[in-house]
Amino acid sequence: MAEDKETKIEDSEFENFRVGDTIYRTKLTKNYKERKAYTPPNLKQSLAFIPGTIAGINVKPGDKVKQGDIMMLIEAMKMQNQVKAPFDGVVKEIYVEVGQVVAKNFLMMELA
Amino acid sequence: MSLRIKTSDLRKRMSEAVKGGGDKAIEKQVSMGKMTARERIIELLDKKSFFEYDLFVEHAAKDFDMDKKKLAGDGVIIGTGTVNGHPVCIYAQDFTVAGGSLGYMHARKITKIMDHAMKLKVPIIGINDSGGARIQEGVNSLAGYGEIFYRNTMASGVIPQISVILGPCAGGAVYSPALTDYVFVVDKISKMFITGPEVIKSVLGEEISMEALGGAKVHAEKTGNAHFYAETEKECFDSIKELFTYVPWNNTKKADSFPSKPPKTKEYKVKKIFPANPTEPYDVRDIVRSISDDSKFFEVQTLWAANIVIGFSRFNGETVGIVANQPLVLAGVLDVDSSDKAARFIRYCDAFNIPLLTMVDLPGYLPGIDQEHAGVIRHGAKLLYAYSEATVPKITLIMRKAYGGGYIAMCSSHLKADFVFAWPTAEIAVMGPTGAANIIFRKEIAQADDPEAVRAQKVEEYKQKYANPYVAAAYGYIDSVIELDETRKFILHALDISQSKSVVLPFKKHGVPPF
Repeated sequence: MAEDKETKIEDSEFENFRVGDTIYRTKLTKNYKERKAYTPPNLKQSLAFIPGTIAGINVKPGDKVKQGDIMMLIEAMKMQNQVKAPFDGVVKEIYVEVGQVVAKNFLMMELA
Repeated sequence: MSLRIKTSDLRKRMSEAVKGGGDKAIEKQVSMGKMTARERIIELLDKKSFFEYDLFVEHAAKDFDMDKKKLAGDGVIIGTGTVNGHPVCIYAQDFTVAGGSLGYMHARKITKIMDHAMKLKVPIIGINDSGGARIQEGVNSLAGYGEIFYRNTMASGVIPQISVILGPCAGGAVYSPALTDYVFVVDKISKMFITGPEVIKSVLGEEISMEALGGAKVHAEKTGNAHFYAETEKECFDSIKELFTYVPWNNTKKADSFPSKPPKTKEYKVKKIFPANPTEPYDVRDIVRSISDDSKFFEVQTLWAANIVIGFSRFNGETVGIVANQPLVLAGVLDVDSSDKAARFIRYCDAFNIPLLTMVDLPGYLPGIDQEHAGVIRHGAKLLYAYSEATVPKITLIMRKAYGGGYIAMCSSHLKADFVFAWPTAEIAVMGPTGAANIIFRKEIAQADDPEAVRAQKVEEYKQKYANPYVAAAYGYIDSVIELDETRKFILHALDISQSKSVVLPFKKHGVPPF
């Protein structure tokens, strides 16, 4: 009867969980609780799209950039990856320096 | 030389070879809480059934002073034996010999025993405990992995392939287990990853322990790469032996039959376990136990995607694969992971002639941006594909909710279930009553003096009319609406008369499933 005890349902372990218009009583999984919240992309913020090392910075704060200008190089997976300006704008702030190791989605630079 | 001298020479050679990496290395292995490769094989196989081959194989590498190194058996043990009295082929990497690293001859031994398994049509068990490629042997060790992966793929769906991860299994090496049917991991011993913590730290500056990156629990709970999780090696071997009681020896055979035993209905009273209110949780595994032989249920992937339950039971002594929504976890919704989990299991059962029993109670697909962006369309489609393609007997029991796409996906009659049974508590509808009433009666609700009262009334009306099994039964989408206590009787009969089921699929080389 050991199994019986194990599977006995205690109401306190359940949470409300909405699917459509109905609220169900159920348990939530670790993967569900740890899921990442969605954030809409912000083109003004240049995030590292790959983890790597900053290999070069071609701009400084205040510089005007045109869409497609190469602003930075990130060395990753034995390649020099180009960071291009997503639109015509002005460099507002740079948060990295050459040689710095950045994780994925690290904020490298802000445009205005 | 006399026979006696030759014999003693053989014995001497053997006793040297079976020492593997020597006493020191063995001591280290044991201090890590691990058995040696040979002990593992002996523990797993039936007593005195193991016969070893290629004990005297040596590597032929010359570069980097390798010609001066002698590696016993080149770091892997291969052989044949029996499990539960049935023949199996087996290999175990020996971490005490050059860290179990995979060189050319090491791989040749593994592929040799894999080829045997395919010719003899018996299962192959691989015990992985290896530091990875033997760097000194360069491209030859890569070639070795490739040869193994190719054979894993050819053997898939022909013979059972079991991977046991009892040590590190890193880089390319992880892809052999990933290609096999079942991966067994043991707490604190198993470690699997493509790039290890050191590389991650040097390249990314991110620090993580081996255990947190690719330990047993991670793969059993988070990634779904492992199917069985155990606390000890002994417990792991016991569950391999139990698994082998449920699966056939190859794809032309049926699993072993056992004497039929009634379920323990005193312990598992379906009417006590099962709440009729569709928003209340219960453990669907107890429903399985209320109808299966001896109330047994051998679950696969217990921890990962627990919102769907998969595993094996027996009915009338014969193995049946169970796929059941689990209202206890995330209300039993389908999502990316649970679709993957169920779809692969369905294809496994279909490949190995195991009839499928699907037990349905789900509110639909999990809503959310993360799910949509993770490709729930593509992943959910796998379930449709797997059920549609499966030609083994397919029996479906709709217990409570079967809404929308979830109803179709869970082996509905439209995906060619052979028998669909429903309990009187079943609700088969295009969506939940509240949502449906809100859409259909939107105008009436909006224009009413008291919208909430009208909404409640319309929801109630919809429930009365449609939240039941009889609309679907009127179209013949459900074969029988049955009482809860009759379930086993109906399932036994359905299985019994489906024994010579045969379906011919359209000719094709293979389909293009939404992998």
